[in-house]
Amino acid sequence: MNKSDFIGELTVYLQDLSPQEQEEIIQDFEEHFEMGRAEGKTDEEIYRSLGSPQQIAKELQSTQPFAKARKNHAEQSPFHRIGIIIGLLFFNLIIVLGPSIGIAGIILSAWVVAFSFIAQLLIAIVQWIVQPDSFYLFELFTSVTLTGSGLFIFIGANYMTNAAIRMFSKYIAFNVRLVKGENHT
Amino acid sequence: MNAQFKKGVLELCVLVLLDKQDFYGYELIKRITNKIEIAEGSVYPVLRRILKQGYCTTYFRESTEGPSRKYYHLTEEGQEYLLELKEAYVNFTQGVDSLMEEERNE
Repeated sequence: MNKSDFIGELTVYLQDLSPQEQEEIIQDFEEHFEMGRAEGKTDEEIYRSLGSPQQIAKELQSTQPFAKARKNHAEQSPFHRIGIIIGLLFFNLIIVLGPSIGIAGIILSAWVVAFSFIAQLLIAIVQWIVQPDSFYLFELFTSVTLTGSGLFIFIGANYMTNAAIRMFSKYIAFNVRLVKGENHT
Repeated sequence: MNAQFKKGVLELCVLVLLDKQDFYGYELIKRITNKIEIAEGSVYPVLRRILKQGYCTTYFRESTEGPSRKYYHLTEEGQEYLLELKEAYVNFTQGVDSLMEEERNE
């Protein structure tokens, strides 16, 4: 394991960097080997104390995550972007819109059922106050049971609404990301 | 040791040394490895990072023996960054120390 082994291996792992960047890095390490040799060290010793070229390359690449991300972003042409917008539009209209309306309908009807189940008890009470002779215990039990289930449906509808809103905003954010061309996160 | 943590500490060491005087890479590494055990190669990525962030600049100076050397010089931004880093480090080590102290007293 000598200087050229080290430099060669490092170069392999640095392929993603710009040629200028690679050259600067190689120069630094060449200088390092020269200095070590001047101190009377063997290449083998210098190589060992430097550490693995792969690890060093990894650390060198992580010095420029921001520059890289920006580059990816700019690489997307306006045509590409318009294509994505049109594609998303059709996908949303044909595939997403129908089921979304369906789900919204189910949630809306759950709300309506919940409210009418709860409201019928109030109406029944008002009726018994106005016409006390129309009171039957059996009807009271039915009313209370219905109200109970109404409350359960109310909780369920509330939960479904929140979940739907969360999913909807996530989906919108996903669409925006697609159009902007940010593939990560 | 956690890689991220090691990177941060190594950065601090480099900045602390450069705050006193300009160094060339090899000399800087010698100074650090005299005190703490690290892979010498990991100093170069740190130097490149602080160079890119504008915390230091480089210049070449001829040496009596061998080729000209690349010196690193801390910029004003680098000095400010060093102050921040030092404070964060002191807070961190104080926290760790007090945790170890508590453990011992239990």
